[in-house]
Amino acid sequence: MSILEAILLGLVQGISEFLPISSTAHLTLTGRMLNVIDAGKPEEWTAFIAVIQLGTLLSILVYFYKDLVNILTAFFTEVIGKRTKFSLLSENSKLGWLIISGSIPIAVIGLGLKKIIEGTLTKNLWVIGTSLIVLAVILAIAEKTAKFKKEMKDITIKDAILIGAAQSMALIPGSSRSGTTITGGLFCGLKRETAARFSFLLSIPAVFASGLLELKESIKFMNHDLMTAMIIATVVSGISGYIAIDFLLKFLKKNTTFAFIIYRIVIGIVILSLLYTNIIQK
Amino acid sequence: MKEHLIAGFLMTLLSCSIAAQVDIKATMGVNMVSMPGLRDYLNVNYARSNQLSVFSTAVYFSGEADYQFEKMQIGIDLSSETNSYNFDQGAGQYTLSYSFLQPNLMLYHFIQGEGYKFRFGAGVGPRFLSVSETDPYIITSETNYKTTGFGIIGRIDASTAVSKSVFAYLGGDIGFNYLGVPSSGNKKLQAPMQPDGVKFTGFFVGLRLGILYSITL
Repeated sequence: MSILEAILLGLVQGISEFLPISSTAHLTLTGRMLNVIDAGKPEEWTAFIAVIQLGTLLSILVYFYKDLVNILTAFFTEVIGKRTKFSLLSENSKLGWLIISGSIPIAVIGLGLKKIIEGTLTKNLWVIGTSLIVLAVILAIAEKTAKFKKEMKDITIKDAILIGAAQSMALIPGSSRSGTTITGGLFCGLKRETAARFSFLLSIPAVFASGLLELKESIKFMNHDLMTAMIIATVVSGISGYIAIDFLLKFLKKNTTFAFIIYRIVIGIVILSLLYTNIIQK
Repeated sequence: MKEHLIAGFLMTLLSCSIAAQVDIKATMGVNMVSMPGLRDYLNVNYARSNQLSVFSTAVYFSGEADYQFEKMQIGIDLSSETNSYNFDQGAGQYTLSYSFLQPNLMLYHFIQGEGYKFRFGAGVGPRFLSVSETDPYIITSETNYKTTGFGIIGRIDASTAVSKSVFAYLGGDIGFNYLGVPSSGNKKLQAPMQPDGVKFTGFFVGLRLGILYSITL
């Protein structure tokens, strides 16, 4: 993988991780077009994707730095220190519990389906193209039926678990982690911006855990060239990811997600058409 | 009546210019380029053990100035794409590098809100290509070729405010460039398998990162 290819993949990851358009779909399509995915070693590509996600994780940590400090401080003081009852907890401590409870579904399902996730299914463009379209339709239904009333303080544990369950649907390649969680949030009645904000906070444990796990397991596949490419792609994904988060949160204050829905359907049709005409291989 | 029309026109012009904005943008990024003519030329003649894939990556720089009116923006974009290929040939290294100058007249529709801009649009413009080739088996000095053509481009981009007038920029392009065969005087860039010459016509997809400065007039 050349430096330019690494920069391009970093940009793809940073932009597509937070917008509800599927980073896996875009990375896999780009990787196939550049011929950088070794069909004989799919785990190398899975490892590359997981590690450059750490760059986008870093962008969330920087962007939500103050929120995270407040959540951690309140959680450790009230829950760990004072053992305060849930009903008496501050908003920040409750948010800590919401993130924990929302992360349980993906932890259980992610570890249970680890072999499938790391295998060839995650690179199958038929699956990716189809789920891009299917999730777009589900997001469109959520847009049409949602109430857009709840703010961060109104999210319940039940909402968090449901949104967490939606996050575990993102294990299907092409569905998009932010796409499934924003969709879940909308079905739970959250405002669009709140759904996106909670989606980003909820991604921290999942992306951190999967990134570190893959980093540990991918060390055996790494050579100097791949390591250099990973570092470059990770830095680029962090910078572009930060811009994407800031843009999406501002954009969703006044606009719907229909621009992304249309984009998902178009890119899904393009992928399926390229496969059908044998221009690219599955 | 005539005076009223002139006054109305001037008022419209004035109100347009009061609401108008000029955006100045500088970006850099990477293009994923498919130029079948060039790829065949390199694969057949030079890249024997290391065949090029359908797409290759190229560096891209761009500067743009856009004038905003109503929900539209019209702009002049000046972009440059650069790439090079190197292959060991035993007698030395074969090198082919090229640089595209791509001015475009752009037209966008945009959505603007508090601290962000989202645009999509398209453009068209001439293309100026210069190619430099060094082949250790044929000549020892560098040969420079030039050609022209035209291209079309589609663009979607998002900018988010980092201060009142400065925005961080992310963008994506898709486009097609039609170019003639590069030549140096009477000598065309060609090979026995491509007697009509090597065409640089091709398709590209690219992503950009940059900065945008917005001036309200």
